Amino acid sequence: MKRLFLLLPAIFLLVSCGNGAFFPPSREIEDMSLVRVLGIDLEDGNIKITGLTAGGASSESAAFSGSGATLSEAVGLLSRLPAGKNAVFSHVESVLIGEKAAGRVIPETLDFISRSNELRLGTRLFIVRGDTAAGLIEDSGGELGDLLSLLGENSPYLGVFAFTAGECSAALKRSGACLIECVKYDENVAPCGFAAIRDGKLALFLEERASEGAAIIMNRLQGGEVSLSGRTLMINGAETRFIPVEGPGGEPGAKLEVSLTARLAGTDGRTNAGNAEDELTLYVGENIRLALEAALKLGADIYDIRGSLMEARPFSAGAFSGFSMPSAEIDWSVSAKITGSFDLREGAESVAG
Amino acid sequence: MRDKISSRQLGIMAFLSLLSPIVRLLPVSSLALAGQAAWLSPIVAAAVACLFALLVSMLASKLRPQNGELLRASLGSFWGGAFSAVFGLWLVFYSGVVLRVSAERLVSVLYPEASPAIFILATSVALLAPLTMGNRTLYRASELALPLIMGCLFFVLVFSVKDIRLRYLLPVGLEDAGAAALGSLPVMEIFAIWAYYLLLAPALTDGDRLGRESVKWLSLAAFCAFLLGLTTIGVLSPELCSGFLSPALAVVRNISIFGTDARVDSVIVAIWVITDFALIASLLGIAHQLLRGLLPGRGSRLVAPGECAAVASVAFLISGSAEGAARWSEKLAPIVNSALAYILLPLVLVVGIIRKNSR
Repeated sequence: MKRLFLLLPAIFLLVSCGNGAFFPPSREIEDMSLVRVLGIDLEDGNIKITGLTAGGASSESAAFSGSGATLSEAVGLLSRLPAGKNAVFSHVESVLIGEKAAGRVIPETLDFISRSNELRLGTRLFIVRGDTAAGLIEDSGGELGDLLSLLGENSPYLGVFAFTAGECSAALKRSGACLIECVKYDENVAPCGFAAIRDGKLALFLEERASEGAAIIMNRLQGGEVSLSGRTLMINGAETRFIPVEGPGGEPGAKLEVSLTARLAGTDGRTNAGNAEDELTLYVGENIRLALEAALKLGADIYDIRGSLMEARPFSAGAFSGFSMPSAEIDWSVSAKITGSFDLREGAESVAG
Repeated sequence: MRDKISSRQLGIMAFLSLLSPIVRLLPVSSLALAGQAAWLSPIVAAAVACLFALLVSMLASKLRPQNGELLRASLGSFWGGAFSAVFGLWLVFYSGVVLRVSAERLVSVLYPEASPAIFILATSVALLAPLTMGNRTLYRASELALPLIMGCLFFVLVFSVKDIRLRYLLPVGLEDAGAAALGSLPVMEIFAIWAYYLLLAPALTDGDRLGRESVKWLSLAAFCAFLLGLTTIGVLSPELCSGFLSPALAVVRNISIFGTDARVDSVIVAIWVITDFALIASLLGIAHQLLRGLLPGRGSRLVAPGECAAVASVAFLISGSAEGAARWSEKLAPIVNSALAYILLPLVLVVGIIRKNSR
């Protein structure tokens, strides 16, 4: 019994209770405001953070800002919101980076997210084209969090889902390059291709068709509408197989075999399927060519083709250790199949072919 | 020794204690040496460690000391006492190092603005209880803690497995065997702690089962290390994983349960707290048995509070910074543990058998 009493004071000491000189202050739940979207810009040489809180039954979402020489300093200054609330970053789903800031803050942002006790590696990253992150947050209002969450599911252009902070960090460490999805505000928040990051800096933008090709190469294509020669097709899905090959000089290369299924708008979709299949094959093939051209221009394996080849041959590591984008021979073939038809909705937008 | 425990209880306590450095140091230590093949290193280490455990268990069971002191039975009163002092004082020092690094890690995660001082003090006071209650209570408690820890590990692994990417783990081939073997060295350094528990062999009620239980629980510890490496490297990638101080925490922080982001950091914190306390308390218990015999009569009552005070002092004084303390835990302590466990202890037991046979 005496020994149990020895233990009790230690247990009480171990439990943090109340505010005071010894223990850190507690935070009550009603004093917390969950931040859902975080925006990062550069302003007068400082890093400006804009946060958008989640709205609830008793409060609306609100935007607030903070500035500092570093990201940590800016976030630290941000944590105290008006009306005495504390910002909580544990549920930040999306981080927006302004186009001008993208040239400098990406490595710091990724490092901050990796080390943060609150932010998650699954946080999606976006670069705002033609605007600042603060501007996009202000224009789109409280719905931005939901809009960014749905971006991957209902994207009007061949839907892909955004890359997360963890994926970008891993890709930068492995190959020195990564992709980040871009968004813009044009009456609504819309995706507009990918940005390629090389050695921590924004290197180039992949426009729409190159971005579609990139999505197919990375097996991240979910589907979407395409308009070709006045006809509308709905791509249901695509699968890309990677076949390791050897180039003329013995260097490792790759062959991509892309299989697509799609539906043709109209009740007699199968009647004109043959022609549409050929057009879709050419369209997707051209997209892949544009995507690979961008990767060659960058000189980096931004689509992790090496990783895909290694997954195809998991026990032949040595064969592909020398794979590198500038020197690799990459060939591809596309086969598209129209499997049915669908009714085109009135007023629905199609991606220009 | 007045506290008798079973081989199974010893095995469970040693297993729980090994989880502390496994979760703290792996797979980052192995990644530095083995690269992408680091997740295979625990398998290589398991084979070697189990053979070693069988050998040393066999040596310990051959000695069968009557008075419960393995070192004194091997080397005699004077040298046995000297080696008991060396082992005992090192275990106290190492416990202080573990206490400091675990306090720094826990407090920096839960209370970033706070100092680890109160945690160190409170844990040092709490350690008085198992030291004064005896080994039997502590080792019985480990049987209760086992399902809790296994449940926490199972939870982390089950909900992380969907995020594993094969391209982060593969490819592996025969050419990676050398790298995996190199990466097993840090794992072997961790498994060296096992040898200290063999010093309690005379206190076992079923000493003939020691070898079997050692292999069983060492294998389970190696399997847990393998699963931990597989999960953390598979989810984060080898490059990203090597940059984290605690990759397991990074994985847990990013768990989603049935599509919903979940904040379940408390699961990994529970594993930290329970295993760290198990390691420190059990090593101090072994040190207590070794050092108590050096202070006859009433002096032996001072050993327990003296050990707690020493552990707290080491924890406070070892370094002025978290990085300095981590260096002790990651670089210096494993070397000393390996030397004591893989070289000195087997030598001592062999000398003991030779002396016993020559009488």
